[in-house]
Amino acid sequence: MTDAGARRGGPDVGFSFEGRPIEVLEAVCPFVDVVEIVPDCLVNSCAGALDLRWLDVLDEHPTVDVVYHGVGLSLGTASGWNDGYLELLELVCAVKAPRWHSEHLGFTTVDGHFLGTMPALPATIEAADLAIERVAELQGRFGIDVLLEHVASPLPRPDQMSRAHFLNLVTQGSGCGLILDLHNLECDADNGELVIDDFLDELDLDPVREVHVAGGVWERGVHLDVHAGLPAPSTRTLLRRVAPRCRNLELVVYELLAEACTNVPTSAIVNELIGIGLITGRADAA
Amino acid sequence: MRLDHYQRGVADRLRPGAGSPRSGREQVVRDSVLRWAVLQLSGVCPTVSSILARDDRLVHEVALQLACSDRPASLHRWGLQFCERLVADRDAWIVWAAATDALVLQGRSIAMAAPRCPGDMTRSLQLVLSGRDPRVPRPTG
Repeated sequence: MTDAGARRGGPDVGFSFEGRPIEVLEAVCPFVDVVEIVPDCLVNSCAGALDLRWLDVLDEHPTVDVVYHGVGLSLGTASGWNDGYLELLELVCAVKAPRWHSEHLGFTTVDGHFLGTMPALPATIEAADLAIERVAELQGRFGIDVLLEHVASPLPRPDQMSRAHFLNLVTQGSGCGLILDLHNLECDADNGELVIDDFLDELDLDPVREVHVAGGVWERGVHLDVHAGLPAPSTRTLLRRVAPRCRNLELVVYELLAEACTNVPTSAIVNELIGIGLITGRADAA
Repeated sequence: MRLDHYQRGVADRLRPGAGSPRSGREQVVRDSVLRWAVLQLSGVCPTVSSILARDDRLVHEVALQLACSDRPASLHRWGLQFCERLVADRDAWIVWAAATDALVLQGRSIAMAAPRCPGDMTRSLQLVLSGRDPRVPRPTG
């Protein structure tokens, strides 16, 4: 973060990047410490080949780290995760080593069928055991820290316990870090799935190393976790409240879909990143 | 409920044609899946998607694709499946457009292997790329 203000002691600031548009990456790099890359999106869908042009941009910003944030692994699929994703992850890790790798506590494929959405894992003992076992596999295979993110979903889940207790079981059982996604919390709260204050009071915040903020959409009364725009003022307020409580927080990432980058001016993205740094104490106003 | 049973149930309920949704939320998620699928397939199969959209068939054909096959996680492979189904279409323009998109996805040369275009191929591709209907007759005079 070279242009956003003098550095202080707060967590690093990051931006998600889905492989395009490359111009947005060039514009945000001077304002971030970390770029969160979604490996699945690096495969050019038309050519079916890996697009690594982002490396050229990062080469010009050697202080910017990367973290990889997986979608296609489908870590939570009971019948087996996607081995092809692990091969992709090996490729990108060999190209540029990440600070850590993160996955979602959800599932995108069932019996090889891609769902086109990511339902959340239910808060059950079986699901916790599966997540713990798979984090161990990831850590053993890649030798890097693994973080898990809770998923927002309006679909009903056969929960056996509270969502916070489920996350505590997974982090304590696996030793993994946690991504606390504030927009996911707001979606679940708005859809009547949880009460944010109760959730935060019950959740062990020590494993939280990364926080996500994003904007979403409302459809027919349902708040959907689509990273379609700027975070709402309520999300920024939540960040202001939550960040000081997470004593091991290292990174705050603003997530925006590649498709949405055409609707959000790059200057607004940069302003959001600067604003995050100011909220979390990462930077002083220059 | 066992996790695999729950997950198969979710997968079944999200497929188009799986019966009436159990709730308004389920319908919202189904609609969201369909909308993203339309966007994604339009991105990888732009020629055939453009013509289907002009005929108000795109959403229906994408819904059929969601319902009729096991969807691979790879958008590249799924786009190929979409095209492979549509090369059997009754409309010669759809057949040509789907075959053209399939060639591009396979990394093959359109010039060398393209199927017969019902019109002038270059002009048709230009019109599709500019968002216009390739089936409009060439102006005369």
